[in-house]
Amino acid sequence: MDAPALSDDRLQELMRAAQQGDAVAYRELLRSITPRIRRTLLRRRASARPEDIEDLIQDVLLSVHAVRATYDPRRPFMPWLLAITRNRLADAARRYRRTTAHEVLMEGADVTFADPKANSGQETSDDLVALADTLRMLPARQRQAFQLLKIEGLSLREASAMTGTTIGALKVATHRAIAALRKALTRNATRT
Amino acid sequence: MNTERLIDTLADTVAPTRPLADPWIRSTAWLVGTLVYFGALVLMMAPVSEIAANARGGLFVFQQLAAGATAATAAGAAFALTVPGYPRGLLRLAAITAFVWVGSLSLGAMHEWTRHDMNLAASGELACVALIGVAGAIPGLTMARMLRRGAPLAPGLTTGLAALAITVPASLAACMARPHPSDAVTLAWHGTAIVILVALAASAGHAVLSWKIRTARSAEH
Repeated sequence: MDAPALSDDRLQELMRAAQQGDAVAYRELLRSITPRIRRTLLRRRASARPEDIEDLIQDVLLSVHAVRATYDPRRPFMPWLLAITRNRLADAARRYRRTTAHEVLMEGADVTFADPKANSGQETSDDLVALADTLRMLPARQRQAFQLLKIEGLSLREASAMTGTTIGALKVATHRAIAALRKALTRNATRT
Repeated sequence: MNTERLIDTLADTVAPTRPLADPWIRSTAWLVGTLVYFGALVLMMAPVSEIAANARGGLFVFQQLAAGATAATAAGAAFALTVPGYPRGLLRLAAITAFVWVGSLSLGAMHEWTRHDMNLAASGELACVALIGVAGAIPGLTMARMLRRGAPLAPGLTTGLAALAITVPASLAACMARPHPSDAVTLAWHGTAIVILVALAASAGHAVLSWKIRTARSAEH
């Protein structure tokens, strides 16, 4: 939950205390500024994914921590924080541009191989549909075992604790689910 | 790591830290040290009587004052750039003083040209270039250390201004230590050396000042 918004005077006080090594004041300060940083970032990067916004918030917090000595206790706190936030945001945008400049989008590129089996494209989406259909038609126990172990990546012990099924039964159910899915994919390939 | 955990980690490891002094105080301290250093160098290179003889009239004195002002404002602006939220007015002031300094040298060169007195013989100018490039290393390293305590908000601009703040007093020292045949020579040789060094420093900005270095250093302490 968001911490209540504090006045700039209070933030100044907390930062002064943090500069003297007061961990409680520092925690309160960081908790209080996090929603403000999030709002600023969301305003400027409305289309960013939530995990990217969280990464940026952490970048800003680490930067605030690294340069907390540059804060002059006689000056207002928010302009200092906003300057860091804007700077880290600009850095992230530059980083993003640099990364995407070297990426080639391959989606939609038509590739045709001599061997029909090697051609992918429509087949991929057909396979996915067949997989989803088969997964839906599997017995509940097999579907659950496959989902927990192969999709969500739980360990056998975790899945066993969660479902109340023995590890051996989980192994069997997963094995049968995989066999059924393989059969569905083969069927789909021979049809196309 | 999630943000809540990061906040706890940062709060648990926070150590007392002394707030940095105002950029003007820091830049003045650095500038005084640098002027003392270059003053000592000049005194080692030339006797006082020769230094006095090198001061050729009012325009020369004005040029040196403009050089001093350029160094002071460039240093102030470099330090100000490392403080988040600090007013950027010093940046404009540094640009104005640099413009006045280059303008005063250009004015001298134009006078020489209209008087058909322009002497472009560059005897010993390489020594000046060496002084500007090499002797500036000590104040340069000192400034780099001081700047790294701040926030790397605009690394290239900061190191470029720092280089300007170092090379201009070095040029001033060179002008005081040995007679220069003309302002055109000073402008061409000193100016070119300064422009090259400022450009090199600006391009090395991210290697000297970066958030990566800054956050790594803070994690060490």
